[in-house]
Amino acid sequence: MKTLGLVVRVALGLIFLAASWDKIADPVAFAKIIRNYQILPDVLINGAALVLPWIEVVVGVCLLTGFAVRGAGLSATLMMLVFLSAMAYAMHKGISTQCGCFTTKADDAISATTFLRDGSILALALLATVDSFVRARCA
Amino acid sequence: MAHGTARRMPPLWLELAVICVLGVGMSVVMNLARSEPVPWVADFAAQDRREALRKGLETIDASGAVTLFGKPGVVFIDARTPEEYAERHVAGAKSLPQETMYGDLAAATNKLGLSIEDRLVVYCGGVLCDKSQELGEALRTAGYPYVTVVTDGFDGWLAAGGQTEGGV
Repeated sequence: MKTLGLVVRVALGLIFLAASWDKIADPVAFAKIIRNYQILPDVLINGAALVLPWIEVVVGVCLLTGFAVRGAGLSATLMMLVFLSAMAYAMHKGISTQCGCFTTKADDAISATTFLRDGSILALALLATVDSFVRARCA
Repeated sequence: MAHGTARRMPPLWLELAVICVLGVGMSVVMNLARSEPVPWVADFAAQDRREALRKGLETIDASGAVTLFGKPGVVFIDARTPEEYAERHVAGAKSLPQETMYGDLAAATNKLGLSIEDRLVVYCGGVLCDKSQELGEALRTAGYPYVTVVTDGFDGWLAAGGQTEGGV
């Protein structure tokens, strides 16, 4: 059980680090994707595009190192909930946009696959969070 | 046992605060380290206007385009693929896929019955697509003087509650 928790945490950390790379490399493209979701006002879009990938990096590093792991797990879970809600909103509104999940390139449009992928990551995040809270309580 | 652990573990709010502060701090520092730092607040409307003006095109956002809908002489042009057009489009819009500009554009516009007196309001998928701007530029080059590009495209039109038709 302990090993499983560790594997989940490390996997989730690596996923978050991988997800942040392209967005850090091209924040302008990421900002365009965020804008296309039509959720945030224009004034907040660049700030979100600049900060969000670095939060992902910090969360990823925390999950890998075990530092502030409850906060990292909870942050990962909340972020995945927000991302999934944004995708659901876009799909509901009929907005055809890039997911902006792992890449800023135009080959990752919102689809059933992106929902399945992000849903799986949410499940991992929930597992990691529960595991970290249980361990903190039992330690 | 649990009490002892609770004293050693930092509170959850502190962990969350540390993550936020580190994330924001690193984004600020790394943005400053860029050769061209990205502005924290961008004027997207001005960017859209500049880009279109560079191409000699007038622009409008979807909520503005809604007010043009149904006015005499205004013709909505759908620059997306025929499949996307068939799925759903602005009510009354004519399909002129962007790819047409690489063929006989004059024949295609004649077939649609467009007049040079018409105000052509061109749209594509959303803010990310360039098809409407490219087609708009081609239409101006082809002699249509009144071309307007919808900056946020069909996504914006839907969000603005514009009338649509087609599809199921």
